[in-house]
Amino acid sequence: MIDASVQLAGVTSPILLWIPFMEPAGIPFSYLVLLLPLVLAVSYAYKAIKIEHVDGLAREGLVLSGQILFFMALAAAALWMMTDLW
Amino acid sequence: MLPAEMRSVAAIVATWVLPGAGHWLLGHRVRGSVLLASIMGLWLLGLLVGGISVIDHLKPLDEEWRMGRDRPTRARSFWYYGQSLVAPSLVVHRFHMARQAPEQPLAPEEAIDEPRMVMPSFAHGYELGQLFTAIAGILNLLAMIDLLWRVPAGKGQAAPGSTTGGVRRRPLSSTSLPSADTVPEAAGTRDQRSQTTQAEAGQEHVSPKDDEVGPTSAPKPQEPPPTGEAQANEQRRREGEA
Repeated sequence: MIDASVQLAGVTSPILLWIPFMEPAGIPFSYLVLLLPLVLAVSYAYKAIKIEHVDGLAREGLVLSGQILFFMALAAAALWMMTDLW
Repeated sequence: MLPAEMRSVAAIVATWVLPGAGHWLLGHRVRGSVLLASIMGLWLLGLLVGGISVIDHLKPLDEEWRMGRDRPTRARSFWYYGQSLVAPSLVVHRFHMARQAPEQPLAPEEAIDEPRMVMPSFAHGYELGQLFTAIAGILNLLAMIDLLWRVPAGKGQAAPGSTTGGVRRRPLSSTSLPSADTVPEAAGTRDQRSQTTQAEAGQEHVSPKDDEVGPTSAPKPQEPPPTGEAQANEQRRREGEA
C-alpha cells in the first residue's frame, strides 16, 4: 500500500508532459495579464447584446474594454495611495 | 414554423448548450458569433489555466480533499452554479468526477492500470479558472435573458424605419405574449426606451401592467401620459389655482 500523495505524484506528469485542460497550466507571466481577455470577453458579450446595430460592435467593444481598464487602474491607484501614502 | 414562445425556448436551450447558438438560430448571426467567441473563449481560457478540476460541485476544504479523503464532508461550491449555466461544464464535471483520485490508495500494480487521473489545481490557477468559467456562465445567462426579448431577424429589423434591432418589446409570458409577428415595434432601442418618456413612446409603450392584460383584452385608447415637464406644469397650475 502506498501513500496517496506518492500515488498522485506517480500518475501525474512532469511539466514537459503537460496536457492542456487536463492539468492546470503553469503561467510564467503575471496573472494580471489574464485581466485583458476577461475584460475583452465581458465587453464584447455585453455589447453584442446591448447595441442595436452590429456595425459598430468591434469599436464599441474596444472602447468599453478601455474604459473598464482605465477605471480599474484609477481605482487601483487610488487604493494604493490610500494604503501606502497615507 | 414554430410559434414565438417555442422559438424563444428553443433558442434559450440552444444558447445553454452552446453560447450564441440561440442568436444564430434566430438569424442574428453576428451577435451569435461574437457571443460564442467571447463566452466560450473565456470558458476555455478558464479551463486552460486551471485544468478541468476547477469545475467541481463541491468546494475544496483542505489538503485532505486533494488526497481524495473526506469527500462527503465538503460543502457545495457556489461557483458551480455559475459554471453550470454553460452546458459543456456539466460534461466536463462528469469527466472530472470519473478521473478523480480514488478514495483509497491503490496498490502499485493497480495504479499502473489506472487511467490517467486529473491533477488538481491550486492557488491562483484554481481561483482564476473557477472565476473565468463562472463568469462565462453568467454572461451566457445574460445572453439567454436577451433571447426573451429578441425577435427573429427579418421581423424586427426589416421593418422600414424600425430601430429596435430585433428586440421584442415585452418579456416572454405564457399568458400574455402575442406572436412575434403581431408585436408592434417600440419607438426606439432598449437604451432609448429606458430613457424615453411615456409620451414619446405613445400607445406602444409597454408597462409592467400591460403584461398583465391578456391577449383577448380589447385595446383601450390611450392618451399620451404626461411627461415630467408636463407634470411640473400641471402642478404649477394647481398651485396657482390654490
